[in-house]
Amino acid sequence: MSLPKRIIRETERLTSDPVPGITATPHEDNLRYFDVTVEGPASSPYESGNFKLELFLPDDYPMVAPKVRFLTKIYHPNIDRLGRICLDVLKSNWSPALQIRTILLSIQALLSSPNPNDPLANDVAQAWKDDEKKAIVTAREWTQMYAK
Amino acid sequence: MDAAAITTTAAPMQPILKHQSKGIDITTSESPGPGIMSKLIDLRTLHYVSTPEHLNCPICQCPFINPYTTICGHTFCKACIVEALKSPMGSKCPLDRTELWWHGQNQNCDEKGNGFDDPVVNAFIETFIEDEDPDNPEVQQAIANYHNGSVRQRRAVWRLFNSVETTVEESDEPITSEIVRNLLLHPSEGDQSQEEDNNNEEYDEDESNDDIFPAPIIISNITDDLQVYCCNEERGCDWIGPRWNIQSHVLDECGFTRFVCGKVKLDGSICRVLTQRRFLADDADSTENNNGNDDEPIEGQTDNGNKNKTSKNKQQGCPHDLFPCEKCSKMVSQVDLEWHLDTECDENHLKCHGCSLEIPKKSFKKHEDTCVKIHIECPGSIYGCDWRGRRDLLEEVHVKQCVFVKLTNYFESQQTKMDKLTEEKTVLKNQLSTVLDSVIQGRLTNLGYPLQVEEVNSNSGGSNPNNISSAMQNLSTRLSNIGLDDADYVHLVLEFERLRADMERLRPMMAEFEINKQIVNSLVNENAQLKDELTSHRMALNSVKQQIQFMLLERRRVARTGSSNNGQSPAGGAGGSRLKL
Repeated sequence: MSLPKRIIRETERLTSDPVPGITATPHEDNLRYFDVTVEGPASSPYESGNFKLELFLPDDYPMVAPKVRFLTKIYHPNIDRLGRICLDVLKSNWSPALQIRTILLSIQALLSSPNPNDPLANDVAQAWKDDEKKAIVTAREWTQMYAK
Repeated sequence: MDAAAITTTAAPMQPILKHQSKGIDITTSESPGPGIMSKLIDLRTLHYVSTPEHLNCPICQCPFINPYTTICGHTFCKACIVEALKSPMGSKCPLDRTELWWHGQNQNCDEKGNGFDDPVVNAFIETFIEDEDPDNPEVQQAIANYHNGSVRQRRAVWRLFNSVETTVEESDEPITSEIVRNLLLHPSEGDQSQEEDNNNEEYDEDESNDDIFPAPIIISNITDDLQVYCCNEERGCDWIGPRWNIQSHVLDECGFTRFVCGKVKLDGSICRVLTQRRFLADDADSTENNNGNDDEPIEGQTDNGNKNKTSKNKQQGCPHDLFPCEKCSKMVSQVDLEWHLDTECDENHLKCHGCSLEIPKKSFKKHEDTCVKIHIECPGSIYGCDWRGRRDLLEEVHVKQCVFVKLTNYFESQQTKMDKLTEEKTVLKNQLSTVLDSVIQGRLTNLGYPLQVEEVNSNSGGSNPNNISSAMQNLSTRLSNIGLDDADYVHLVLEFERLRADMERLRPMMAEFEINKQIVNSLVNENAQLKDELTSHRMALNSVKQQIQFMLLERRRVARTGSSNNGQSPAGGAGGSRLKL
């Protein structure tokens, strides 16, 4: 199956006009599979971290959301041990007008504003609710440990 | 025409012999009708000369093809928006999630014969009739009505359903189960009321009901006028023209479109190889056929041909018949000839202008890059140096003296600086126009940008990593300080109205004050006059007093001289003292 023009255009734009702090490069053997790195946003516990993600565009893309997963371990209430991400635009709120770049920006924004009230990693969310300061310290430690 | 096998192939059907490029192939001998055209050329695969961002469909990211606009004012390709409405996202605008009705949205259900069956809407209906006894035939009738009802009724319920969340707070008449029941039980009445609500729109099972409709014709005209490259660009066609013309170009004009050859070969069989139109053309001057060579068919197709060189080899028969190359005697066919001469033939010599050596054409380019005697331009020519001469002279003599070469570094740095500034300027200009647009709209939105305001800023920051990004951030914070939501806006308007009322109240008081001031002024003037008058009166009084004293003195003196001269001195003393007063 040939690659839709939209994916080609998006890939071109990601390389020619990259989003600051985000890189996405397609695999040579599968142009629907991207290696992504996202820098932890400044003034968040993930600052100075470099997080690796994988992004896959299903056959129905852009009618269905891309599949995105963290490969780097991260201490975040909306991201679980397996790196799965709880983000509305990746699920029910996906719209075909969204793009790879907007999704990655949303993920970067999720790092800036963790939402323990809609948790995916229950233990982390609980820790976040019980003692936010401590949780932030842990997140910072994890960033130092895994996302360097 | 029924079995017209038209393909847009990337891969050839036969083994690749020589370099092979993408393009349009037509594998039928008949000329294709208009119905075939749309299959033949996928407008989405076209290569545009330039694509203005605003003419791109937000879904496929290509210039609009058959643009459709939604009631919320967004435009998409018809195919894209229809697919999006069918997708799991449901009947919402992909850009702002406005609910959109589209006649085909429950097509799948209709095909299954289940009628209208949207689980969400069903749940909604159930919440309104759950108080009822499910065995009540009326309720059953209501549900049946709904499921088998007309589009008109379904749409009415659907609209009602979608308006619940948005209107329940402000609506004068909250949606009650009564309304829903009426609508379901008496579809015709419901229709009427709904029709009135919707300005007597007509409800038919066709597109006129839809919330998506063809975009203004000007949009299609503009997108159809966009310049595109020919689909056979990779084969060497340099045609550029408006998109509406691409099909007729490819089908009727382009020499690089491939057709089945269909000519009789030397051995009498009919050639079935796909061949570009330019090799199949029956030129009047191409009648010679001086090649009586073997008839082994060549399987590949080539992409280039040179009519001038091959005209003498043109044949009435098949262009794939082989003949020996004039230069090296290798067996080639007409379609391969140009490629052979350019890249393969060892005997196709070209004479170098500089060293007068004869070099095979295939390595001529390489020679040109190294030949010391060839005439070349000074590297400073782009900045104005018009020197032209032998390469060895250039390197040894000219470069050392040429002012332009010496200035090259400076020029280059200026050029990069200028490019950077131009880019910066473009970004700022875009940003400004977006902000202005938004201001004109009366509120700040991400209008014209697929991204949120913050995202737009971070993007622009990316393309210009210098000061711009911080400036953008400033702008963004300032924008958010202005207040982005409607509540703030309303508040500002109210405040403004209050101030205006205050001012109106103060205006008459101001006028009154003016009048008072005038009165006071005139009083002051009058006062001054009176003061003057008073002074003159006082002076007059004083002189009268003096005269009286003088006359009194005179009288006393007369009286004294009249009675006795001795009693003079005390009265005189008294008079003197009076005079001093």
